[in-house]
Amino acid sequence: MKKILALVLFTLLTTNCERDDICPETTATTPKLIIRFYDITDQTETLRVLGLQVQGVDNEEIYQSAFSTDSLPIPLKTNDIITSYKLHKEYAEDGNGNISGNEDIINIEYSPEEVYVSRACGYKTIFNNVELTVVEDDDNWIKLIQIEDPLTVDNETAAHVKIFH
Amino acid sequence: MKQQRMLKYFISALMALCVTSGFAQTNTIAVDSVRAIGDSIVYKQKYGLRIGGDVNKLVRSFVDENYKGFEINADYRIKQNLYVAGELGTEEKITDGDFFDNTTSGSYFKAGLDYNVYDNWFGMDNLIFGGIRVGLASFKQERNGFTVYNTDQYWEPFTDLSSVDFSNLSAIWAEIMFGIKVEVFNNLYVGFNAQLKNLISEDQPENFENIFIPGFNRTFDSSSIGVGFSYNISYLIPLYKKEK
Repeated sequence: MKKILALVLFTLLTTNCERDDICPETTATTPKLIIRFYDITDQTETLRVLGLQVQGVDNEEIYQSAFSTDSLPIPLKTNDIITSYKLHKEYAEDGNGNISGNEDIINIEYSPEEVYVSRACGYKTIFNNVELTVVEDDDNWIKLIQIEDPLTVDNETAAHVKIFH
Repeated sequence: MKQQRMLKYFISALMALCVTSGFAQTNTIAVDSVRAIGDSIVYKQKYGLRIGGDVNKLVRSFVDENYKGFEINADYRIKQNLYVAGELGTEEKITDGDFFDNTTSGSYFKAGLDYNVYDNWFGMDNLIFGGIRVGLASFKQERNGFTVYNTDQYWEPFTDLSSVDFSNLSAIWAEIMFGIKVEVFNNLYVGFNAQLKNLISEDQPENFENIFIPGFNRTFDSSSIGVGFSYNISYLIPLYKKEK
């Protein structure tokens, strides 16, 4: 009987500050869309985009300022069915405010779905039927897009879209 | 006689104070001395139905605006140390989390046995007991809205303000209980017990989960364990007396 009492008391003491109340970082929540950049001339090789600035259309904040990468994770709007980004390659600004480089705009369309995770994390959004298109302009640096059909973005374990340039 | 009654109250009070720190020792010397005075007296013990209510739930209903609860409990003595016991209650709990709001409401019933391990002094009727219960709850959950969790704050998260009902839910659990009941006045008892519960089965609402289960209390992500406390006041309706 004493053992039971000890067990009851121990459980009561330890459960008061449960780790359950904080969403652990290891738990998969709302995923980002991961874009991987490849070489248009040798399509098996990844190729870094130099000086890439990333900004959401209708978002004042710059998501990532000029950096070079071959992999780009971007968050999608969970309260909309479309998210647009300005991907500005070789972004540079001179002393007079003139911006150089090449800006392409991509539109990502999808059907969001809210999925329950846990009491600490609440709900996450996954994205079904994801489509990615480039707004055509005079000089697109994005040459080709390869995307699964249909594409569901529900994790961040691998790249979802290949962009060739 | 007066001294003896004093002692009774003293022991009762002591028991109430010292439950968590250890067990009251059975004092055989004292029992012997009582026998010496009333050698031929045969003390008959009270058997009957004890009915009470959970004070903790009642108080909490007044002080905690997110909680309403009520429980009546009863036990019936069937053997010297064995009682059939049960609880019947209703609870409503608002869980105002970081990412969702939920209201659980419903009722529950628990049934089982209590076993008294306390050796009473002559003329006393207190309990230190261990109990087992099977609990059954019928309830509904109302999700009052949620905000999507996103580690990246670049865009505004999706917020759903609509209210969704998940009704006709039920759950079954087993629990072990440990507590005391002390007779403070004739037939009037105050008690305390702690419960450790393990969920056996539950209806999971679609794309959600049971956040709170009446009688079981809050649930945990990482286990099926639940815990509970009860402070109660009860009254014994003596039905007959029986020798030990």
